[in-house]
Amino acid sequence: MASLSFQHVYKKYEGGVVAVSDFNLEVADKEFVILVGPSGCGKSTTLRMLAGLENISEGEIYIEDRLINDVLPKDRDIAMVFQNYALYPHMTVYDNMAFALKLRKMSKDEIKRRVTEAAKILEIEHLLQRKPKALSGGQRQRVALGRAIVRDPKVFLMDEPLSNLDAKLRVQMRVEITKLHHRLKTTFVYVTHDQTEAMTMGTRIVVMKDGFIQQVDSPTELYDNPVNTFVAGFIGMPPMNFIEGLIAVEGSDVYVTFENISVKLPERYAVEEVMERDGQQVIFGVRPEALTDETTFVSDHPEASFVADVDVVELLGAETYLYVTVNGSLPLTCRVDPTTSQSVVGESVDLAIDTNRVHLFDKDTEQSIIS
Amino acid sequence: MEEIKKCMRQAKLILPKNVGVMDTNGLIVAATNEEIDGTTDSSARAVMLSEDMFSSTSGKTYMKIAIGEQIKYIIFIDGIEPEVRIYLELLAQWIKSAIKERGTDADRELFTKNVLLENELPGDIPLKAREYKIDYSTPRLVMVIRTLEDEAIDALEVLQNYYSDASYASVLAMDETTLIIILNAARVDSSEKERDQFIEDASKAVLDVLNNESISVYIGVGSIVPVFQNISKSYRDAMLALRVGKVFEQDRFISRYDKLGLGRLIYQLPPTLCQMFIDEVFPNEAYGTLDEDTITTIESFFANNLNGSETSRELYVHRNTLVYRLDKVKRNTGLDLRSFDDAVLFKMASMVRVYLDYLSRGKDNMIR
Ligand SMILES: Nc1ncnc2c1ncn2[C@@H]1O[C@H](COP(=O)(O)OP(=O)(O)O)[C@@H](O)[C@H]1O
Ligand SMILES: [Mg+2]
Repeated sequence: MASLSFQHVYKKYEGGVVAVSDFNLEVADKEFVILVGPSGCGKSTTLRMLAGLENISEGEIYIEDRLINDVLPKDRDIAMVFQNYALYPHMTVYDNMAFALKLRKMSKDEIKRRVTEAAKILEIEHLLQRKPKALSGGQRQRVALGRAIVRDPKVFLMDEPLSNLDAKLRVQMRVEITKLHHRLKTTFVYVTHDQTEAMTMGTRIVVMKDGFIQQVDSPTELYDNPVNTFVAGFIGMPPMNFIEGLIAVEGSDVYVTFENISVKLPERYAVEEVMERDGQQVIFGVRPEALTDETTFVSDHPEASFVADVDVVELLGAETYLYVTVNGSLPLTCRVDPTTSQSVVGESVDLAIDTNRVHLFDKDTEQSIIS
Repeated sequence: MEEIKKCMRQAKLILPKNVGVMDTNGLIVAATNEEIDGTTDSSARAVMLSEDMFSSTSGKTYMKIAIGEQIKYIIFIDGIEPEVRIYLELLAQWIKSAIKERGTDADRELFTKNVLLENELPGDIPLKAREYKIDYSTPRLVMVIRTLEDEAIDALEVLQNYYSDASYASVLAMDETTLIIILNAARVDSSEKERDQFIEDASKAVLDVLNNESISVYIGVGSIVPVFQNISKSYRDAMLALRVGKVFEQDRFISRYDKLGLGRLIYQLPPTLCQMFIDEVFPNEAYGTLDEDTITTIESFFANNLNGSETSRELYVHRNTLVYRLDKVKRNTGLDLRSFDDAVLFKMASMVRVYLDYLSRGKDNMIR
């Protein structure tokens, strides 16, 4: 159990690569925080600095109130689970879990108590005498977690622990790890490049890109109020549609125009930050589910509707994705209701934008215009 | 002791009864029932006093084991029926041969170290290797692991457990911060790509397994050599990689002999020549006049292949700021980094500076 604090942390490699820049983050005791971002954005580097496996170039990291920049990894009270969780092939599950404790010269009784308890938590008591070879992928993963649990650390670090598992098992293990967090009541820092994983597991998510934190928020906030086009495009599947548009102000009304289409925005967009951009280019962000082909909605919202050509219809059961093109040049993705959608490939379709759920970004800075 | 523990672990799987080994004072050094490990059996005195090899008391049967002339251990088994004596006799043979093998293990290790350090006559090596049951003509790869001072023992234990199959890898401790792994590379074919992948995977696995136990290490990786005698070359290569890595790439935990780059050249240069080169490229200590921002800018400019837009984006500075800084470099050093030739000179000279710096700091002040 411990809080964490990162203060202006940098990782600069010789040769000019800045892997992590001005990383600032406070993590509360018992919190489950996820670092997410595309490959190479500095997630592992951040975690390794916290673990002590990588030097901190600048800035400070605290665990509880203890500055740990110069503390040895084994003295940081941290346990890690990596993607390549190496189990000792010739040891039983019990011995694999006991190994780190034996290294620390813990008493036999205490080792036994901890291994037994961890095995119970993970429901692998019946596997304790097996060798890793005789385990399934999910069971091995659990042993790897067990190896971390027995250390009774203040903080758990996990770096893409599920990325070697198949899709089905991955979904199952996500739930298990979340449960584990509830049971252990310890601080977790979890790294993944998979936004779905982050969104389903995290209570607080840190989105990173090129070594910089982009946004720290709850899944809902990230989804509904992304601070820039990167977060907007990274979070959500299929990704948000980005449309280059022009702001047009008429009296107290605000319009976005693109491809000879003019869409009226609701009143809440008629604020100074938007009004002052009359005649300027912006990036108009529309999530696929904010685009609909539902006929009553379309006819009720003529101020936000337009025609498009249907290129592909992807039926997924609970929902349908339409890939359409406007004016032969602007591609859009729509997520529509399969029970009402009548769209057919090769034909045109009337679409409307649910303008209550759209986003506006500055064309140069790519930052959200409305905060 | 480890070999006796190993016997007990195996005995546990085979024998239907609990057995164990104690020293002549009754201290139990290993048992199939791990809970009594480290406890003392008070019957030991009586057993030692008895003339017989076997004795039975309080539900157990005991047998003395002599190593050489001397009684060294007492083994015991649950039960007093005559059949259990057969188990004890078998167990005694087993333990004796395990202990003997251990002797040759230590000899084999010493021999291997001597080969690594080139203390063996080359002509003797193939024959001796056969004596120690070392396959002479298996390709091998040597890795040097450098740990913090008090972590080598832990690291050794981790690695010996990780590579518990001795025919695949042997792990040796050279001194209090250096371990050697000699890896069997027989399954690697001769394709460049596969060798590269093998080296990459093997070194990454070592790093991961040690990091997983919170042990921080630097790894130098040698080259794959065709026969046992040449492990000394692979060892030398690995040591060089570790050292060159220490000078030029402090942040890399794995330094490979086949990926040393420019460092390989610079590392061989005599210091006086280096100094002459520096004086030529940066006359009047010109490098020292560059401030930290400028140096960061230069490094980023190189990392982005001399692409100005990429660099200014990465540094979050305006293009004009970048141009200004590069102009300043040109004024101070006479080198225009936008020109390829000047950029090469600057890069070389700054690496040479790093090397001279390292020499002046003294060689052994860091963990590798
Ligand atoms: N030892 C190193 N030297 C130079 N650059 C490195 C080193 N290790 C990692 N990097 C670079 O740092 C950046 C961040 O890497 P990493 O933290 O592993 O990203 P992630 O885990 O988000 O995929 C990458 O651009 C990577 O190439
Ligand atoms: Mg990573």
